[in-house]
Amino acid sequence: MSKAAINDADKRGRLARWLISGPPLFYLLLFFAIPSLIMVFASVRYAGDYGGLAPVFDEAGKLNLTLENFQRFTSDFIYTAIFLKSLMYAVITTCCCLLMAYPLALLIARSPKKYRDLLILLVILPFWSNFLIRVYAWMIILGPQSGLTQAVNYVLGLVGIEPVRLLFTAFSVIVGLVYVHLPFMVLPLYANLEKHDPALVDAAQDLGASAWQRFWRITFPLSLPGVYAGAALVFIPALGIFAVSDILGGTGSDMIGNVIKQQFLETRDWPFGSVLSIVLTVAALIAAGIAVLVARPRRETHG
Amino acid sequence: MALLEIRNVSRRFGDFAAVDNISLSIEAGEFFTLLGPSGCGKTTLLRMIAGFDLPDSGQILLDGVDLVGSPPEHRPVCTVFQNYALFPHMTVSANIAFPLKMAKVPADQIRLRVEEALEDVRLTGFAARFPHELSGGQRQRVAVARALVSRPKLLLLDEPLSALDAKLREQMQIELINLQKEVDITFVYVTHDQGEALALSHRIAVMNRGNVEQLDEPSRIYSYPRTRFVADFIGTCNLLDGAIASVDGAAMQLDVPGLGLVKSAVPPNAAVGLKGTLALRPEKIHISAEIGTDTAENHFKGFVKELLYLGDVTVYIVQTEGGTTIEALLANSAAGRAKFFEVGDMVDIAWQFDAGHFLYE
Amino acid sequence: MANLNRMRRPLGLWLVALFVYAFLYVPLIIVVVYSFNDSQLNAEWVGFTLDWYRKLFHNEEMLRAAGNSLMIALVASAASTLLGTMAGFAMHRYKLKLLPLLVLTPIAIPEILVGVSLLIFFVMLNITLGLLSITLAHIAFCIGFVAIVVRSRLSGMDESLTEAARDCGATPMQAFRLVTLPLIMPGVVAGALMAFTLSIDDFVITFFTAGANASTLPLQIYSMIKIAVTPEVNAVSTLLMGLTLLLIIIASKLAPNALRSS
Repeated sequence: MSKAAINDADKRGRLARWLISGPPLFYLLLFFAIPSLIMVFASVRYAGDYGGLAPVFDEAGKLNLTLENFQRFTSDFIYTAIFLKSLMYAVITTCCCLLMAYPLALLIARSPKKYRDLLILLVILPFWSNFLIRVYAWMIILGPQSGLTQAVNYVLGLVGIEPVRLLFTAFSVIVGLVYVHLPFMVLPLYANLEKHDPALVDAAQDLGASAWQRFWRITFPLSLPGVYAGAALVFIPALGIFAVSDILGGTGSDMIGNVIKQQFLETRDWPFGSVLSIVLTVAALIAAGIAVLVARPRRETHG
Repeated sequence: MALLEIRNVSRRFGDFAAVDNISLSIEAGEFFTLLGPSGCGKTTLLRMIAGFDLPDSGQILLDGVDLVGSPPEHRPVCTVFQNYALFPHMTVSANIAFPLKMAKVPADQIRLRVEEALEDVRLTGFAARFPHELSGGQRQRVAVARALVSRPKLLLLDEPLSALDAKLREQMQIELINLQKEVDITFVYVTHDQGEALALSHRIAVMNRGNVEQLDEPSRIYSYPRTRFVADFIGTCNLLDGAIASVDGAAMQLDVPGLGLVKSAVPPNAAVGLKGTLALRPEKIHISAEIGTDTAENHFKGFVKELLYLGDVTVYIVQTEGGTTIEALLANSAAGRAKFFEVGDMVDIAWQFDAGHFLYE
Repeated sequence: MANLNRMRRPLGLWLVALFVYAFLYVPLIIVVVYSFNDSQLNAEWVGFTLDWYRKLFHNEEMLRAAGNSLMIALVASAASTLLGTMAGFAMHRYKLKLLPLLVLTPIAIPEILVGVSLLIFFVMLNITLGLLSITLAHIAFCIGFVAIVVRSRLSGMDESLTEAARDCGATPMQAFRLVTLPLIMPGVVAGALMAFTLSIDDFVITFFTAGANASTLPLQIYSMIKIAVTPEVNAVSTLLMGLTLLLIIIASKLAPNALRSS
């Protein structure tokens, strides 16, 4: 008799599990997994006559697939160049974000408890304003008539250099990228640094370490998980961005995101756009994989 | 028929047998304790009775009905959790009323019974407070009240006093004993504290590594431990390994290496050569500068190797001439003297021949 | 002791930190300030005016876009909060492999990939691109955020409380409704607010799934930036920032601990 009761209990448990995990699972399969697979599949199809995708089977019923889209990516160097440029921009952005975010996170983490929440909120607050606004703001600051541009050109003029344009350059794109992603670097760093035991640094000082040594040998290594998390949170989105380069960049600062957007919405060569998307996805997954790998706890072999 | 019957219940986690083929019965109205060190399976067994875990095999019968497969909400069994598990977003009275609401008891009856329950645990007037406003002891009482209000057939208590300090714990122990008598509900209590188990229970099941080593009344467990583990776990015990050298009617001689010949009571099935352990409680050992001879006693000479002054008693660790150390306990009640002996003093120790209990496989 | 603290926070650190804060806020302040500037160009301060705000409220397209954004955000946040809470609960309770992957990946990869794949998907299914496609897309990427918040809230909750509820006679459904849900509610609310803000602010995914006719506030702002930059953009930006600030203040009053990390 209790065997039946156990089976009933099992069945009830399984039903509950399906009822709870089912709807979100189904929704995401339908609106995320399947579209992604379709996009991957689109990369081996031909482009349609008026853009979009050509049918999978042509009039004769034959399979209408090709690898020419991939070939185009590898043979036409311009696309690889743009992809490499995107990688470089993302790396530069990540480094700049790290350099700017680290001191800030360190300061907040070491501030008295009652101020910390407020200070961190002040970092997050700009993030809550619209993304486009944040990019647009730099259009104003770096614009040709802005105070900053005029000041910079004035200084350059003193040294005898031609006036430069700040907006619509690689520089403005990087500034925009850093600005938009900075909070993503601050937060994980702060979360990590906040948990550091101040006694460790004090002990090091007690043993004779200078301020720099205390930082470099104690604080920084302990903060590495936060650094990796922040780096991943900045690098991966920055790689695929297109709005920042679209608004703040000139013709020479197109990133792979811009090219993908062009392919899908202007040129309407969807198969090729899909190829570029796959390249971007692979790069993002590799970066994510590296982040997960380095985040695993390592053993210190010596002091 | 027993109220709760556990028949051949086993529970494994991979290779590890948390509960290994246990069978026992619990009578209605008794205060029954599962006692053992952490990892012995007592909590696992309790959770299976409550319904939070399923045994791999065996039956758990409550009034003859197998509970296995029945979810916790259908079992007439209530639990007092180790950390009390009071709902933080509900007041004390809402907490206590919860089981009654689940049982769809009419509202006016709920109010009455909650008041009664508060009286039972002596927390009248605390109805509107929230758990975070209560002390540890008060929270514990609310947990007990909540578990008792639906008048379950069985009350399970999972180390409920472990988070309280010593003084409060003693107080709560007395309250629990009285409460159990008042409400006349069967208590199944889990603890690792042997003193607590001895104080509270009608019967104790001493568990070790998934098995029940001994199931008995507290006094019998203390005086007649059946295995080495039980002897060592309950109170302190001198454990002297030896073999039976000779048997003479009601007494026998044990050959204890490092000590000598020890006279002891004869256990059933005694035979010359049988190897075992003599379990001897420290308080049964008489220690003095000089003890007169009495054939009914064992006498040994030695010196005080270490001592532990505990206020009311002193524990003396005596190294005998043969090399074995024996622990003896002496009350410090002699007027005006803090302790009787110093480290290094030569002493005589003696005990009645039937003071010890011989354990063998 | 005070000396020690000062040594841990040297002057250099302070300066860099202040610079970063300035870096974060000055651009936004400039946007707000110039929204009141009586000049077409965002260059010099000429005089105070509310003209740009007036123009904004007469801008039919802008108002329609704002209405769309609001509607989409309400629907998307409601649906994604429901689905996200279910997902968060399931991920916490059961050892699932597929669900966490599907829930977390949309957040981990660049948004453009989600946008582009949904574009292909909707066109293939002959779903007209418009408010519906945008809403469906928003729900897809908001579920993950809600799920993460709910799951972290659940893992901070005491497990024995649900057991205690069932011990007292509650069915699993009752235990969830009467014990678990009230206790994770701050997390659910935080998730809902997050989803709402993400939806209102979203640009990339909306850009690809909106089609030719539908417009949301971010899309409107984008076309204003690209085509005709006037301080109307500043005005709408300032208003949006004000709205977000208001939402955060309301959120912190409703669920005071929701936005904290613990």
